[in-house]
Amino acid sequence: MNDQRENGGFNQRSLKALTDIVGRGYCRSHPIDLELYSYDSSPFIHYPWAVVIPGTVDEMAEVVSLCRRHGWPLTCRGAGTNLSGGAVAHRGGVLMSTTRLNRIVDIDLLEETALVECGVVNLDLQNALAPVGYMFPPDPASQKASTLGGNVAENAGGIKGVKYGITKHHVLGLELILDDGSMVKTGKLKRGLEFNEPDLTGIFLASEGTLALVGRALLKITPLPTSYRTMSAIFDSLFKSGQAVSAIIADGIIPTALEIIDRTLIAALEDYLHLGFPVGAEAMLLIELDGLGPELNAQLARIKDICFKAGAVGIEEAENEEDREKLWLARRSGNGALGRVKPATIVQDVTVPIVHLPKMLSLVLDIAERHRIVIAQMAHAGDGNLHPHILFDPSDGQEYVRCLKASADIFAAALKVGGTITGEHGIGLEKVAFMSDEFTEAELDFMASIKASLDPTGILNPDKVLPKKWQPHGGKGPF
Amino acid sequence: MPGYEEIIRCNRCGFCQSVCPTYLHSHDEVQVARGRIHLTRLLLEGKYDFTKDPELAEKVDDCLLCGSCTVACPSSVKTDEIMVAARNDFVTNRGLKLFQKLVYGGLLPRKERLERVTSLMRLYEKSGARNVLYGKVLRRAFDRLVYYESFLPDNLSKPARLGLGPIVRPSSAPKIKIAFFLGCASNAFWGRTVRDSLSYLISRGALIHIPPTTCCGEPHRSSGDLTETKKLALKNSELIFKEEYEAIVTDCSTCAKALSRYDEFVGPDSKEGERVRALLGRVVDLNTFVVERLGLRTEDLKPTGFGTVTYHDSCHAIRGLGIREAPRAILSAIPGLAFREMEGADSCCGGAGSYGFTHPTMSGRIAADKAAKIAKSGADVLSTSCPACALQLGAGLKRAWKTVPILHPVELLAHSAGVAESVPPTIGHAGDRQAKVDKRERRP
Repeated sequence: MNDQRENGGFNQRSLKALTDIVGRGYCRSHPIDLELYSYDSSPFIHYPWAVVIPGTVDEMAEVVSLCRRHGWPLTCRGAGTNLSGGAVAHRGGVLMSTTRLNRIVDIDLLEETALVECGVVNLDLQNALAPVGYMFPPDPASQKASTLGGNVAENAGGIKGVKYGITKHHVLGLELILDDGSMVKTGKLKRGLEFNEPDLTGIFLASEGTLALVGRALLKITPLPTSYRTMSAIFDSLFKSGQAVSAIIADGIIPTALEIIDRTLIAALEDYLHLGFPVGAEAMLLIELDGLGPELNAQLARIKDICFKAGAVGIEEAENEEDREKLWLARRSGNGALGRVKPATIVQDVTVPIVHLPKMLSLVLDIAERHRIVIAQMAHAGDGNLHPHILFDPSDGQEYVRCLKASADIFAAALKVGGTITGEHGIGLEKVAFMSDEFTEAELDFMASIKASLDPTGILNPDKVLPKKWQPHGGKGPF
Repeated sequence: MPGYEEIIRCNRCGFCQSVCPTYLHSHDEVQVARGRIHLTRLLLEGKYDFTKDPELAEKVDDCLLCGSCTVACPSSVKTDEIMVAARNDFVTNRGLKLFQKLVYGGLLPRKERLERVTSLMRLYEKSGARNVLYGKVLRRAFDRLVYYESFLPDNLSKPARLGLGPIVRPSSAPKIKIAFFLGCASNAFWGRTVRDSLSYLISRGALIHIPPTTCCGEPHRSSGDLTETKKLALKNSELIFKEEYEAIVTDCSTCAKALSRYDEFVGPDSKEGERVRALLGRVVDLNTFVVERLGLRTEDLKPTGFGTVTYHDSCHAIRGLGIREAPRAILSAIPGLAFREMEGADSCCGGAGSYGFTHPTMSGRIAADKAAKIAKSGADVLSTSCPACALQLGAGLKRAWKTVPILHPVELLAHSAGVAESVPPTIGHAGDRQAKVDKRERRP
């Protein structure tokens, strides 16, 4: 680590320069503090040289500019809930935490927009919007903790994705901090209205902090639906639950959410929440509809019909708001609750065309069996987004190797049926090696040219997203 | 005691960020359950140790032990237990810190000394010396001193045990025989609460024994001194865990939580542990005892003069013992008193035993936030069942220039039933204290 620091010319004076920008107490370099900013929710652990926690967007920009001048790698992090290693400082350098930038600047009901700083927690925005009858539809399972800046950078999806789309469908404009510390506004944030321009906002969604940093974001907000119907259907195989999902979508019904939870997760969640889940059942499908009451009843009847035809062994409807909340709390807790089964997880988020969903679910089961490991499956099934949770014990090195192999097999299987290796968790460090499986040389060259033009020295979140060959200066930088 | 298996169940999902009070007031990974668990893990893995890395102790000490994270954690990782284990490791290697030695070693287990301290504080408060501190010049010069001083309640009453015999009898034939466990903080700071609560209990026909118990041991456990905890627990268990008592009641939720785990404290596998375990079901907090064992009697209740009440759940009551309804039932039963839930009623007040003294900055921030929420509820009286929370909330309110009297639910009930000995505290309004201070400052 020290060698690297010296390469970057990082020393006490550098720390002082950073402290001068963010103020005392908000620039840290004590080994124990670095320890606490070395991780996110993925298994990756890498140590930054220093952590800064700016209090304003301007301070953010100054830090970026300083890093660029000295050629220090810069990794930006929100709540640190990334699942693919995107928020760890792989190359050391400066780690910037945005958690203090948590002001909701404005909520405009006439325009139906919310202007937020990047560190606002997703759920805090939802809680601010609910009393006035609105919501911000993207609701990743980590919404209790994850920040909107992170949601934008990862293009987070969520449970409501089937009907409402994902983050990119709800961002109207961004205030960006470019690699030299200059600030630019895009989209509606620039003019106050939408006008005819190339979608400059779009390329920063899912850019994972490698192209520019998000200071503030102008988000589209949506009125809350007037009523909901929520139900759970039990199946004796994952395949059948997948078939039910395909059939529902094929029938032309667009539910708010269609979530599959498998046997391992049902057991873990029941252990946590005691909701009376059918422990031992192979699969549970959570279905939610929203809209107007009478319309929903008809749709609900059709869905029940489809589920029974697909082989559901039982269907239960949430009777009240409390039951409904509990079902969704269960779904959102899936990731964390697996700590009950094994201490560490690799969470995949491969996404496949909806017709191939049933097949893909069973393929993952086969892969788990072949590699003698436990894979717990959850899926935002409505948009074909699978979440195989590959469980392992870090102290068992061999098991980890088998997990990595299984992981590669899942990627290959998804690509084979015309899917993608990531639906919403990002490439990060975890999937970099698989980028060339998903994209052609020409496509990667195109991405590299965008990266090179926006971050020519390669300081922004180095080593993430693009394989080494396509990083600026062949990944040798930053300079 | 949880070990490595408990720690590695944390897979760093970050959900604790949404509830951890120290995180919500700092937005810093150094101040959240996930980070604390990560450090403890490295400690156990041998990467760090307390003797070489004293900063680590600070991080472990920053936890309030409020238990909010365990409730929000999908893997139910018991961060509070993990922190106690880590602190025990520290204490075993390095010993208690000076503050802890003074208070936990010298004061809490020796009630006579504590009572003398209370008398001195009373003298300080009643003599008007307090006004000198609150005067403009000194207040500016010693704002930290004013911070600490603010913990001293207004109209501090005599220690509860003074003038109280070992047995309190009802006037009619006793219906139930109980042991009342008098906690240190209740004894030293909330004499009126104890006296009025006891008056209510005897008015309902309870025969009350008040054994000469010592500290319940929870402060020692929280600071990681498990040896002393065991000593105290053994001493107390002999006095209160007796067949003859139909219930072991205490007004302090921290003591109640500690007593309900006394089998663990005295050694779960020992003979004494077994004896205690058999009687453990008799430990009950005062609110639950009134609601479930005596039954709420509403006929002879009268309005208390207060209009609106709000309730603060202490961590030990709501998460430690799962008590939510009993205190609310009591407050709702009092005629003329509207119960209004405040925002975040069950979030930690930041008092956490001595945390307010050892971590003034963080604790002060949390207290200020709580005070604002209490004020927002519009209540003219605050109720809580924990003497330490009451000190912390009183201090927070005072620093925010708000005077809201703080009463235990059963104390309010005693006033309503007309059996209280003390004069009921009067309604204070926001700004009252400011006015008082301003008046003082105008004095030549």
